[in-house]
Amino acid sequence: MRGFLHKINLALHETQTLLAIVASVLFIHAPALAASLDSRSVAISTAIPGATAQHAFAITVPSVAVMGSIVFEYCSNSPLNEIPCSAPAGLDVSAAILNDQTGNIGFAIDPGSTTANMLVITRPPLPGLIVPSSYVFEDIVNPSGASSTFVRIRTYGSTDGTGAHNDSGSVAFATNQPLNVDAFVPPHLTFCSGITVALDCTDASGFYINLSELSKATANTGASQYSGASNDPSGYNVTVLGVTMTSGNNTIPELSSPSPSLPGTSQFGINLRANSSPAVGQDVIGPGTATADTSYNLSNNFMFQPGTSLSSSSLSTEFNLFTVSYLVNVSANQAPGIYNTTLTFLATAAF
Amino acid sequence: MSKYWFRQKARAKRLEALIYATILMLSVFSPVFMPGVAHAAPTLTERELQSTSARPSQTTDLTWIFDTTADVANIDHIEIEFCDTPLGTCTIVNTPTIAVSLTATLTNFTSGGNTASRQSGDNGGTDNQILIDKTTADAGASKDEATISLSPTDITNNAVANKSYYTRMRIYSDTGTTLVWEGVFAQSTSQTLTVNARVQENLVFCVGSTTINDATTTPGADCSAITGTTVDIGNVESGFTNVSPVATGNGGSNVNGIAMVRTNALNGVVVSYKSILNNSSGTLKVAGAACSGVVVTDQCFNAQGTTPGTFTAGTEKFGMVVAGVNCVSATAYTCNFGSGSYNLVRDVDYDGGAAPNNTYVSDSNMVSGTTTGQYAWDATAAADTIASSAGSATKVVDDEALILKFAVTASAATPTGSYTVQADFIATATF
Repeated sequence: MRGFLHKINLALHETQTLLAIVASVLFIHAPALAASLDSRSVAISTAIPGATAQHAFAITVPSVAVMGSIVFEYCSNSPLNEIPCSAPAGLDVSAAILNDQTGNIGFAIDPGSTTANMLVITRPPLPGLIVPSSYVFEDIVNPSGASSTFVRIRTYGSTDGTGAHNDSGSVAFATNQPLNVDAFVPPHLTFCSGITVALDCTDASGFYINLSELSKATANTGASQYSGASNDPSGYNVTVLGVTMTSGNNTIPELSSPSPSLPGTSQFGINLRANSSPAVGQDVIGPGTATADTSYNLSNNFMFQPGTSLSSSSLSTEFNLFTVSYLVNVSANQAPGIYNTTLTFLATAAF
Repeated sequence: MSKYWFRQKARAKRLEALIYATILMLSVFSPVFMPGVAHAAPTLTERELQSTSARPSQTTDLTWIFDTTADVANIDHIEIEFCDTPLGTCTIVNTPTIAVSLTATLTNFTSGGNTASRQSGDNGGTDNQILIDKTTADAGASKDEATISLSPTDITNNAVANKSYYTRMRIYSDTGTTLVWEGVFAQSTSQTLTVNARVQENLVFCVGSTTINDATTTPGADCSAITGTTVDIGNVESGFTNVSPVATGNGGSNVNGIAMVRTNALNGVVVSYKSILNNSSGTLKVAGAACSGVVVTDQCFNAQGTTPGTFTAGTEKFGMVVAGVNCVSATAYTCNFGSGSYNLVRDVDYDGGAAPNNTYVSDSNMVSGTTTGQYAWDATAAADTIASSAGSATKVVDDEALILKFAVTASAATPTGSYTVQADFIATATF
């Protein structure tokens, strides 16, 4: 009886051991897993959906397993090799060009194995080098949507990406619509006139010039200023409106062309320069591009032709400040009276 | 005398007969009481052999635990024979290796002192048996959980996985002649069980616009909440610098740009941008216009370039700054821009300049004078990094959002027009 129990006990031990072995076979994942590609990334030249882009892959092969091909499989659903791949809409790698490669080199695109979403590069099988490697592809058409895309990278011993893969790893990139930044620069024409003005027109004062009693022997002078700027791409123009100095029906003749001052001769004119004869005025100042019209840009020469352009800029311009010099000479027979005139400086931009 | 002698003789004959009868009885039952027959020894009960490792070729600490029956006998020698089978001839293909020098610890014995040694098995095999010679023989009846434990380096498992072996224990009341208990224990090596799991690579990156203008208000839980493709920085007058968000009353859209990233890339993520060229220039410009260097009269704003600087109203410039890292949406870890605990770090050229790295750039709307923050803009279409987690202690990023401010100021001569620029934002993760 004792011997029988002993045998039963031993049988139970054997059964337990057998079950343990069977269980271990059932639950142990026997096949060795492929190693993971290290330091892997994909840098895309543009994230714009549908754009033709450069995709630059970087990997470090972790083993010296024979490598005859590398597969880059683009999937929209998952980076995991175990899950069936959904090709990203709009993606097309079939026309990709392998532009550069480093590390494990000698690859060329395998057109026979490459599809719209799977890029296969091939070479004669060689042992892998455990070094950083890069593969730069041009002419890849990005997925058409703004989304994340996974690229499953696998190395193979075969030359066409078939059979069991050696090492693998996945990377991801995202496509996005570009960000637009908009702004509007409104049109402006800033202009001011006065006896004195600030360059940027933040100040302007005076509107009246009193030449006092006109001398027959010396030139009578005065000055005023105007300044302006405009962002009209075609610039702006300043004209002078008005008439020569008058007293009733009597007038002081205007200079119809640039002329020097001739004291004792009745004449009225203006210019925009610094003059020495007579000493009046100053040249234009300011960073702008406006210049005086030729007729008013001769030092010691004066002219007055209402409606003609005084100064202008052919393009948008910063501020320029012009000084208008007034010259009045009278002859001995100039009729007595109080002579005056009102001049208007008109700035025009076309926009 | 004669009667007395005969009585004594009769008594002697009866005694002799009794002796013979006793001898005869003993001879009848002799198989039952004959000592020294192995299979007749009581079996150890509650046998258990514990092993600290079943990995092939690994050392293991073996511990035998058992009970003895009520049979009365001493325990002096204990033999433990390692075999491939529980019975019969002993082979040692699957058995572990026994160290030359052994240390056995006995507990729940009356006395534990012993000398342990390796020897060849009684039933076959070489160096496959352990002999434990107790210093003092114990009374062995009814031992409860008697334990024999070897030192952790005494036994080295067989090199082959999933192999069973048996230890045959024999307990003698003397030095190996009188077997008083026996029992077999079983063990096995096993393949190590490797549990693999993969966390799939993840990169979610989105760009859009947002009304958020700080680092403390959530811009949305994740990229699904990010919309918009345009930031309008309004009507640009030369006396001000327009900095997003620009109020609608000033012609703006009252939004900033935003770029949100989530990735589990082990080596971090780099966020960069490229200005998109239009007629060879990637600055803020009237579409199609030709740009001429740094002049202000073309229909192109002068880009600040990659060296950041403050803007003075009226001096034509266009630029961008990452005003702050809004990580309110991050849930995977504690993230707070103000306290400097965030992973996606602004590039030095786009962090606002002199401000501390965790200070939000405060410029917004119409700024007169000089801006507080510094701005930069690369108009060459080269990729320019604006933020990265690659240098952070923790490189993964959970929905951290870069708040993008755009700034522009016009000179008096900046031509009127509708200006625009497009930027291509790219996230590159290294797994």
